[in-house]
Amino acid sequence: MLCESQDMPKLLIPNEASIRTIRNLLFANSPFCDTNSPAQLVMHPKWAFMDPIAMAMAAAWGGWCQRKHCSVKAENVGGPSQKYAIRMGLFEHLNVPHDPLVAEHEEAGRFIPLKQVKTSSDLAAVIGNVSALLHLDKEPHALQAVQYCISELIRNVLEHSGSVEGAYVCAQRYTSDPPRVSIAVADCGFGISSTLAYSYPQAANDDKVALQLAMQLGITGAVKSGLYASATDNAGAGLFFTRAIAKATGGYFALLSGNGVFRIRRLRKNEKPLVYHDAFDDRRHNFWTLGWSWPGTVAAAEVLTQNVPNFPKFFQAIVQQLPPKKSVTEKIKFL
Amino acid sequence: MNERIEVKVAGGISGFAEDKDAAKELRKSTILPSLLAHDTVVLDFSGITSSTQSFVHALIAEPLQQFGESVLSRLEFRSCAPQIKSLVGLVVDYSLGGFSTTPSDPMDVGTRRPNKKRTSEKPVKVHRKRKSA
Repeated sequence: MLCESQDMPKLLIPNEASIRTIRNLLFANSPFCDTNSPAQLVMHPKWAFMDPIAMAMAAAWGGWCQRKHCSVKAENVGGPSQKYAIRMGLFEHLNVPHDPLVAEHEEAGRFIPLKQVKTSSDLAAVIGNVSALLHLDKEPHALQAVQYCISELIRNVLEHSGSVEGAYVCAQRYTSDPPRVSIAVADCGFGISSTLAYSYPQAANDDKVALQLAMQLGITGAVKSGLYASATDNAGAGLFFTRAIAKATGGYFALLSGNGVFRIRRLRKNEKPLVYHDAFDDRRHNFWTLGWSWPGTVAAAEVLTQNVPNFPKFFQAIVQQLPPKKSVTEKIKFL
Repeated sequence: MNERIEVKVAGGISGFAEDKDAAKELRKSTILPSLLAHDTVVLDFSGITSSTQSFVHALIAEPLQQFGESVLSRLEFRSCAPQIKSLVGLVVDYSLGGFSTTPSDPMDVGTRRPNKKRTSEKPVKVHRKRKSA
């Protein structure tokens, strides 16, 4: 649903635009508009904080605007957060003029700036930089968790989204409150509903159902597969495992497509990290229906670095709790 | 005479293997033709510390679906890190038969690394005075 109440694509960024406050960002906006008028990026006059989900969304929106031949004009891009946005590459991706960074000592970044990923090679380059850019070289389990999430989320875009611009990805490592890596991937492709509709007609024109299906194990838009794919290249487990990794560490997970927004909040203290086959059974979830549609998909995950599971044990736990019809694991020859 | 084909699985930087295109290429160019020729294929994961389920699926799901359980006698896995072993087990199991039911119970993924043990301090006893009647 493109906006009819405004005459230009317009994206408003509130003073805090994060996965925690994503509702404010989404309900303050209706950023897509069927016009060739110049688009507007309007930052809150005192804007202070944009986390990766807002950055990736803004960049993907900018890519959509350029596809529609709408140049982007920005308001209130100055202020204390300007340098961060420049370093993240936001204005560069939006083709918005900005002050060059003044030559000064740069603090250790601990972020993956916005990258446009169109090919496997682009993805390999992003993955190759995760350790160095997020300073995770001494935390192998956290590194593996972050690499896993980034890889699966971007592969979903490359393989299923039909996005002309590919995927926009960025990540930020925070050292406190709590220590974590926040990852986001956004595209303006077909969206999940369209991708799944061929195999799952119930997902057509129903973004809530589409999101619900997409997060289940064994659901893929690649083929009509039923539970657990017989497809040779896709099994429909990428979003399931990404959600499970975020849950295992106690972090946020969010998925937005069309007019549906799903989010799982952080674990409470002493709460068990339970992964539900149907993500909507999770008591920590939110679901909102927007008055407009995101023409594609946005996915974000938090990996709380102090709680990263032992990766082999994490997968072993999942495997053990998914009883197969007939286990042949003992017949596998490991040398 | 049937041969034993050694296939080195390439990992990316830092030992993370995720390139599904490379996995698919390896499957099409080497693994499937070798298995069709009744050779034994040894997938060598040395140097790979972790991977994605998608990568392992792209590598072995088709041979498993095509040849069935019997292919496990001619498909071997060398130098697998623990996480790779779990992924191989997962993909083998669901490729050969799926799972019995849609899991309805939530899965406890509480496998957090244990906190460092605290120094053995004796608990401090607190003596409370009884209230006099």
